[in-house]
Amino acid sequence: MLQRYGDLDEVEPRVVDDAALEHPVTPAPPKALRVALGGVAALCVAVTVTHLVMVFLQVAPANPISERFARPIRAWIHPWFEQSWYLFAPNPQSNKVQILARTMTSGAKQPSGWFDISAVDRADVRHNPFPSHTTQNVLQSSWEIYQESYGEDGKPTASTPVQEKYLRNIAVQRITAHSPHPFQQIQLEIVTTLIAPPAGGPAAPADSTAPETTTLPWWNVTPNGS
Amino acid sequence: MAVDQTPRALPAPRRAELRPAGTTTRRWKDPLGRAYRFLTERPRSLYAAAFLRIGFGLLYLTLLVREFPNRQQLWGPESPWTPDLARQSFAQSGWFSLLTLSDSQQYFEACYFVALLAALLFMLGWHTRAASILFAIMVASIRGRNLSIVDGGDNLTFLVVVYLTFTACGRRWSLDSRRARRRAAIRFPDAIQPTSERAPGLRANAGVAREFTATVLHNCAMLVIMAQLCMIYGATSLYKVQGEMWDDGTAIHYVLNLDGFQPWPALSHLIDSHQLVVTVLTYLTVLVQVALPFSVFSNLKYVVLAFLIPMHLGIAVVMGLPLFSAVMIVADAAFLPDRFYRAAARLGRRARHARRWRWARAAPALDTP
Repeated sequence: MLQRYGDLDEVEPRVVDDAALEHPVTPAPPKALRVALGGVAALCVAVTVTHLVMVFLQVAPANPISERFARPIRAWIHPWFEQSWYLFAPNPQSNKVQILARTMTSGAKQPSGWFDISAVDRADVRHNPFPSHTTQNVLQSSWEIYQESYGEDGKPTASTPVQEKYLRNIAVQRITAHSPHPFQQIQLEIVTTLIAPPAGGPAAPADSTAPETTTLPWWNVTPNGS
Repeated sequence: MAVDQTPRALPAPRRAELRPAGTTTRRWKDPLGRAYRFLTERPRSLYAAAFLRIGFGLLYLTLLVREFPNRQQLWGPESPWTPDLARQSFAQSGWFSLLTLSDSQQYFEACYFVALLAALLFMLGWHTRAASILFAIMVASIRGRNLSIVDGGDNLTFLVVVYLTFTACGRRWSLDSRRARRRAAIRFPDAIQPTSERAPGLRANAGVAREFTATVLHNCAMLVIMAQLCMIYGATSLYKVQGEMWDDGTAIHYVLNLDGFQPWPALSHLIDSHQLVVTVLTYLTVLVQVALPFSVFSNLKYVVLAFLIPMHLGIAVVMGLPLFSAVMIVADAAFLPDRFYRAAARLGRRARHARRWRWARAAPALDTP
């Protein structure tokens, strides 16, 4: 039965189903309408099935079908339904990344000392039950995306300059808060250390556990980002 | 624990009425007709859709409030990812964002406010269809403004929010449904009247067509959401199977040692120091994720969810990823049937009544209805 005021939820729909409320008994619609509605249903089902097949092919590893139909898949999926679910897969990241920066003021003979800008992020996460995107998803991801922007042959691609500016802007923003002087140039150094395998567990990857250092070139800092 | 006092036998006669003897054999006849009726008769999983609406609305609202102090840095005109860089990257990514249409600070603040408002209205279910479309546009805009910071939770949120625009997610637990009930109560105080009798002809047919389309769209979209989740779990687990760290049972050790995901280092080290625990967790993670797509059609899903939800809670605390974990947990709830939500709502109501009653007894002076 229908309640007069508010909360139908107060009464469990027992005899009259909820559905009956919204779908009152109606005389059967004319045949033309029924056929048209059948068409609507068929269209919805067709779109649903196509969408699921397309998403499956985009998510699945490269295979003969997805190669053969690469263009229609991309046309359907790109850009709104593009997705990647490599969450800690195939292997979780097995190294720690430290990002250091130093600056150069014009007229000064020597650059500033190295400042660990990633340490600020780590300190922010410590004892924080709800860390921000700014500390977990900005600096290190921008470094990863910048690295990936170099193609497999190690040559810069079309997205490299954009990602370079992003990484530089982040570094400038982070270091400005800790730099006593205005500066005109900035340089980044990335120190990567392998996480030691568990003691007594399966053998470590053969590589040495010594930290690996990458030093990027000096970048000019200008307000308009050139 | 309250004792269930509702007459349990009540639904039984209905079932007997609907399914006369011999239906089990007839079930296999006319499978196409059955599928058609399943798809078009009524919107299925309305409670799950409502739960997704409330859950994703609330979580996005939480994100916007949490990042409110950092909004400039993440999405504002002064962000390191400048509007110019975002516009350049759209050429490659094909994305779009309302936020890059202007570099003005006021415009950005206005957009952020609209996003907050859209999330709130969507969560409450106020003019749900319109609110859901506005909400989806705002989620896409904020996401597109800085694609490099999105994580798995943000990706899933965007997909589900887009799919939800096609569902009838405002029919339960919403301001819309409350309004509809009140209107119905005023118009037909004593009985349910077929509305179409009062407006026969073209208008009635238009109403039928509208309801039919909404139903089919809803059912298809709910199917897409569930299938999408199955593909996520399937993909992420099968990718993991290919990694040697998941194979040799050490993956969780490396996850526990990631710098940016160690809010409680003592806790991470404590878990890490028990190799047995690490190995069991590593294998369990993969197994449960592999199992989900195969369990959703049976009651086995409750077992899988009983493992998945604590796993996500663990990620929330140990790795400092509460929002990501909450998104995954809310999404998993899409698989729960309506009878589960009804039972949960009943339990909640009973607890509320019991508390009210106890309160009334403790303070008899209070005039409680």
